[in-house]
Amino acid sequence: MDREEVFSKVADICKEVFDDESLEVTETSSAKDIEAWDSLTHLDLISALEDTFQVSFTLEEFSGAKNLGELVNYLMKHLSE
Amino acid sequence: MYSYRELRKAARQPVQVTQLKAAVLGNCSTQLFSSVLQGYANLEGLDLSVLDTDYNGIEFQLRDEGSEVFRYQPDLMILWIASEKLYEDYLDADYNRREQFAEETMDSVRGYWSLIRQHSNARILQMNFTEINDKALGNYSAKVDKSFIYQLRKLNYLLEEAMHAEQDVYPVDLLSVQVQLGQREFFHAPMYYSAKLSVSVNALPYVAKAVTDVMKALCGTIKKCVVMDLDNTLWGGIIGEDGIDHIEIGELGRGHVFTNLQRWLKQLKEYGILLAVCSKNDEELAKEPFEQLDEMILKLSDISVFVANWEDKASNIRLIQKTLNIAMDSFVFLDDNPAEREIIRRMLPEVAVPELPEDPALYLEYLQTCNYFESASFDIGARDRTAQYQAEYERNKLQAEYLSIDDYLDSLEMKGRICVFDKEHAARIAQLTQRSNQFNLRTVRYTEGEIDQIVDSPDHIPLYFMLKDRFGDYGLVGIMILKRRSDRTAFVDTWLMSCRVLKRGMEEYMMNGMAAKLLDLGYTTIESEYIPTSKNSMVRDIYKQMGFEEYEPCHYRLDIKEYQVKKTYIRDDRL
Repeated sequence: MDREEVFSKVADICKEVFDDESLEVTETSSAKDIEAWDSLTHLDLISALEDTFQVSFTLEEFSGAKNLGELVNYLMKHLSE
Repeated sequence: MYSYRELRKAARQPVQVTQLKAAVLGNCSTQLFSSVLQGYANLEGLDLSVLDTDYNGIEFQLRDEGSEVFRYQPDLMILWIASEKLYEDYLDADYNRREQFAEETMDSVRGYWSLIRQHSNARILQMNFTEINDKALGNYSAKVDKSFIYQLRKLNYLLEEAMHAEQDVYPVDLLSVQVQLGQREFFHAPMYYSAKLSVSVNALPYVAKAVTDVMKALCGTIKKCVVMDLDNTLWGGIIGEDGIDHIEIGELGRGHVFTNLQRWLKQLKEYGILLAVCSKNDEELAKEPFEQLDEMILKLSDISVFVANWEDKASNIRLIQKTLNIAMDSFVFLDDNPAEREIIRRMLPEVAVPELPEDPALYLEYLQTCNYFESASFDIGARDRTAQYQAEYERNKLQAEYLSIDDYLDSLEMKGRICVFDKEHAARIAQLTQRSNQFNLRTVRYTEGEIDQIVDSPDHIPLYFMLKDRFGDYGLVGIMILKRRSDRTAFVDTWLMSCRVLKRGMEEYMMNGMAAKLLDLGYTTIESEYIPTSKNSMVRDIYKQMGFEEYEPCHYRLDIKEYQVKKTYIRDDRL
């Protein structure tokens, strides 16, 4: 899966997790930009990504990611392992 | 089982009419659990509203009769004391007191129960304790009374004993969820360390099921009768075709499977569940195994209604229902034949129809996981008065110990410390500015580099605050960054506090500390600001409460000389 495909899946997951069908995200989108992105929905996002891509984030990755782009970086890293 | 995502989604549906209110109290983060529970109840058609309380707020909530949780007037209080946190407390406790850990923990649990009873009529749903074996002495730990595993297992035993004596406490068997899923599924260390979740996200639906099952039983939705098919359900083989000599029952091979199923059903009968037979057979033939095979655990005398004929099973179940005069939704229907199960589901949707696995060896495990027979009472005949007197004695003991919140706070023996920023703590300070949302007046985020600059800046008075109490050290829990506006005036650029120490008097301690510090440095005025966000409404009025004047909306000023030192039970910790 290339980065574009991964990101498009991530964008779909964001719509579901943040409960907003019209949500448009970019790699720089972060909790600051998305109102529904709080500490609880962050866990939803992480677990949805883990389930969808069958990967496990490390503690540092999932509590340290500053924006979606960084999460995609980690996903790409795990997917290539 | 519903998935986690399904349940979180369902939790967003508004509850139409609340019939039942539950409050969740825990020493771990329970927010997500509360949401999943709400979702589970919504999907199961239970009109439930759930109130989640602050992480680690049990003591605070229960010792104050005006607290959020008592004002909510819940019908149920769910108490979740996570072993992960207990384990940390255990390790922080004095080495010589570890033999008493189970007893002491049980004392505080009993204390919670008695506080709940003082201020509420809520029934208590008490989670039992999951297992952690830290292998500190390897397998040998199991015989060393100091070891955590020894104390934890003892604690579960003490809990069972204590609950046995209390009518309004209902167990939630969290431990059996852990055993069912296995620790790798049940616990997710990164989630624990990042969000203080003591179970994994994917285990939450199972925990929610356990709690919902108990709530349903409390609401009176219980199963009262098992309707059983015979051939290949209660025994192996088909009596009408294979004949009595080839029926599988006993202790050998497949027979053993059916024997154990019967043993379990017999036990249900002993607990008051009615057993009925519904079989497509000639009645005489169907009764043969009961009459002729000694290995049959169930006897005809155990069966309340025996229906064997060639009519359709839905009609027969209606007949059984009329005979027993119990509601259709109190029946469970056991049949190995998927076609029969499908017909009953369609014709009698209220009847519970477990989807029995193809392999009979798996029947029993599957049925036990379904947990159809949740009960909210058990008639044991005459109650043992001794245990009641013992429980009452414990209750009184704890009530006497703490009369009020003040006594309680005082008993914590809290010690605080004020320090000026140093580079050593810069990372932790930066992290707090980035993560704190709720108790954060202006939500200014700083990087570690920026904190380093503030340390060196002559125009800043950056303070951090430490807290500990008799149970442990919270570490660095609060930050105040004061900026020089003039020789006389300082501005509170940042005030934030970790929510772990909310309502311990730390806010007052911090304000006292800041006022004293600024007075010392020759300042006369403090100015401050509250910048509202979607998450920090809890501190909206704090400056006013602390005696500041709001000179324009969200801007405050205090004449330090006028400041009245706030009462707090936190004493200065001198090195």
